[in-house]
Amino acid sequence: MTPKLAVAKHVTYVQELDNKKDSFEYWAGEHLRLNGVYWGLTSVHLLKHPEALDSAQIIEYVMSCQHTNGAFGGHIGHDPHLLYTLSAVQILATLDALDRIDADQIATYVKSLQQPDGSFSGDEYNEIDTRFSYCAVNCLSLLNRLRQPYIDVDRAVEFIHSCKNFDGGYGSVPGAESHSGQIFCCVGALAILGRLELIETDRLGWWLAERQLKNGGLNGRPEKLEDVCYSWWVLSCLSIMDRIHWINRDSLVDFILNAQDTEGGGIADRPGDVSDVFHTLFGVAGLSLLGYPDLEPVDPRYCMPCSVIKRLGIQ
Amino acid sequence: MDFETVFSDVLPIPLDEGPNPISPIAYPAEYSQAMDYFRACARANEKSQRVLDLTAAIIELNPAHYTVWKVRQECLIALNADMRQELEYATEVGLEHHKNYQVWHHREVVVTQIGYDEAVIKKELGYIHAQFKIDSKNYHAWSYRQWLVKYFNYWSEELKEVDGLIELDCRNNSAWNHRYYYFTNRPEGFSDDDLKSEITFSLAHVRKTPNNESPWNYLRGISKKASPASGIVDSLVNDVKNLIQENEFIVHGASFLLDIVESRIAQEADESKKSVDSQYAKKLCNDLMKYDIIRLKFWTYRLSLLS
Repeated sequence: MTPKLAVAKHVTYVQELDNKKDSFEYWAGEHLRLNGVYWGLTSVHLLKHPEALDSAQIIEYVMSCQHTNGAFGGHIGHDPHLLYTLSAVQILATLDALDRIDADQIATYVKSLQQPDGSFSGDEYNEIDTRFSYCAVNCLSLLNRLRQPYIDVDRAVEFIHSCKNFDGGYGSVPGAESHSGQIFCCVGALAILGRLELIETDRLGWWLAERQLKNGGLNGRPEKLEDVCYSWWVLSCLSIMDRIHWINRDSLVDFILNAQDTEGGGIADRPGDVSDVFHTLFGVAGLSLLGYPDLEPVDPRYCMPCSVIKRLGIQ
Repeated sequence: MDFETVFSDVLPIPLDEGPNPISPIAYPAEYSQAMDYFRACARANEKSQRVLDLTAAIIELNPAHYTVWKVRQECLIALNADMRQELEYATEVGLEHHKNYQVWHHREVVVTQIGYDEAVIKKELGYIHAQFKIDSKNYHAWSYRQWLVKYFNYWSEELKEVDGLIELDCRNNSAWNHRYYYFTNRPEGFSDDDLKSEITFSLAHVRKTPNNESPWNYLRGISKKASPASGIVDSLVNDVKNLIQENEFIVHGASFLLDIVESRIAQEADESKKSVDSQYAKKLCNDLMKYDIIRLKFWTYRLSLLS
């Protein structure tokens, strides 16, 4: 029988993540520490237990990852990167602490990463990816700086649009294979920018609906394994396009619930595997989109509580 | 690497986690020590052989440390290092960490430094081929391959590679995607004759695996490249209709036909032809509602668009 969502266990699981510092996974993952804080924090907020983590302590930690140029590294002493700058801004927005940062300075940093073709690199290292377009757009939107002189919005849209494939999906760069994670980045960015008319809704909607397998789970590409995180990447896009009913809700809910660790807490990539904070967030967020009871509604564009987006005055 | 001897003139800088760290991390001693020297050298902006060696030592412990890779590249350029040898190093790391963003990007940086050299390109294609043997859908490997062949305008091995991979596993969507990339990016373009032979190729595959999504999507993509007067699309529709009749119901085939017939209705001026197509499209929707129950709501919606 499918268990219910083990809310209390998941909250404790996130709280205790910080006590596992001597494990190999923990220190090898230090470069994405700030992402981890965002995953954990958003999880407990969606589970309606915002009090589970100490806000003041988190804010101090986030601020200690900031550099003089305004950008954030993945951990204290790490170089600035767009991936962590977005996580930092998301965390501060959720905790209503955006007054701790200089929005103009961060927006100027994000602008410096935009390339002439409208794409973004993640840092001065010049790796290009639509993931970074999403990070830039999301971050500037939260900071209310989605405009000139910060970034060239039209060019940013043009680049994302150039990554659209013949199957209606999107890849990391023009011509790269459609992948649900990259589709989330492109659709999410276009939604924030109010340019959803560029999406082939029926074509893409069908491709996304095709990601559901017989066991209810979703995969990221044709003929790949199902994975709980795609509950988020795929569902959020369907939700943005108002097509979430195109997949079978009940079998996906069961799939996610069966991937829980009902004893130790947390959610894994698929039933039977070890849970982690990344899949915990995307499992809970997926359940929230599916209307599972007693969860905080999540905004499919930002992967943050709707209440936070509303408080920021974002439409 | 004996850090203390090699860096005897350098004062290591420990990680400053502030007075009350929320979560001090228990690093293994070797990693911690290497990072202390790395911080010191980075602050002094030292670009030397020993820093290059230090980056390799850290990468061995934590290959996802993006700053360390960046410093490694700066050292290589400053030392005017042998970039071909560096590719060997990247291969060594890459064969252990197939999905590490940094090491794939590192190859791109190194190959760009070398510039056009056919031997290097061939060797890179061979390396990617080796990665495909481990995981033929590795997104990083495919992205790198696409970048490489386009950057150097080197297309001669692509069709052979893709043919081989589809032969091995015709459900490899990455390979089908690359097939499309090849035909739509190479300088020769994609003629109606190319299209005809690609349709034959894809139909042969859907006959073997009718429920394989990839060749159907590919067919959809390439059929949009047909010149309107060529009649290619009409004959494709007939081929697929026959295929569906010969087999048990094929969801992807019916869905493919529905898309094409719908767009034909939109363009058709003759009312009687329109009506025939419209009846057929409705029949397809009804069949899809029956056979693809998990997506019942989608097909119901598609049917509603037809009336």
